[in-house]
Amino acid sequence: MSPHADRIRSRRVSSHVDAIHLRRRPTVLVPWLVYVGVTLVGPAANGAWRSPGFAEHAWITLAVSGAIAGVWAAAVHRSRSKKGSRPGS
Amino acid sequence: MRSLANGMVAVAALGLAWMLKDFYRRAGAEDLGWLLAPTVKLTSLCTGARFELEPGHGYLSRELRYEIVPACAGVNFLVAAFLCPCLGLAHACSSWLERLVLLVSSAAAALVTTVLANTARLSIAARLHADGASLGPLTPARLHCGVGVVVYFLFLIALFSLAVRVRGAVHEPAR
Repeated sequence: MSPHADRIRSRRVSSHVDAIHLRRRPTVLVPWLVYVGVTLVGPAANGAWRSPGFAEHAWITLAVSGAIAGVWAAAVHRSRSKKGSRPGS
Repeated sequence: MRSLANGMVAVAALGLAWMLKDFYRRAGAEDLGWLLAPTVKLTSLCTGARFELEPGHGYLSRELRYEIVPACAGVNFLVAAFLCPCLGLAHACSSWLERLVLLVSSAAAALVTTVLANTARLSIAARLHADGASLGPLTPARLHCGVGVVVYFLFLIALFSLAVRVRGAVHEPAR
């Protein structure tokens, strides 16, 4: 096989492996980290933690988003377990 | 080499996000018109209420006694919606064209998602405000915050899930 064909084949394999990894990675972790980072960590680093309502806002954000993330991850895990236990899969 | 290039995409995305946040710190209602105007239009359609522009302040609905000011523009969500696919999918890029497409498509998707998410949030919030809703320890302010988190976070998950699926569909080899 020519070096050019080799490069195309290895790039396709790499993309296929990346696609598999993307499907297996918890989809909710990245959104949760980004959301908490932008709405809480960033403002806190800029001094927003000193304002009176920030602590309550932080508790509500962490509790609600954490609950949603937990339920979503559990639902995805359950769905994947069901697919894996089906005969022939 | 690929890791370094993909790291540069993440840094570029964070830099653009920081510039947007910096602009937002100084922006007034007119500066945020590109984001507020479509949001207010859709919110008006959803709620059936009319919002009037109050120059230098925001948009006011007299019937709902509710105002949409620059703090309601959803810029923080816009930043999160842009960063989510950029940071979550940068590692999977294998060419400079892919990296550029990721940045541009993330920006476009983030803008559309922000308008839709903010419309949903404001429509619910305006209705709760008009009804004076509260639930035990959940004061109107806490309810407003909680509803905002639910709406924004669900839209963010949906956006990222869609981005992952699209990326997977584009790059899976044909069977």
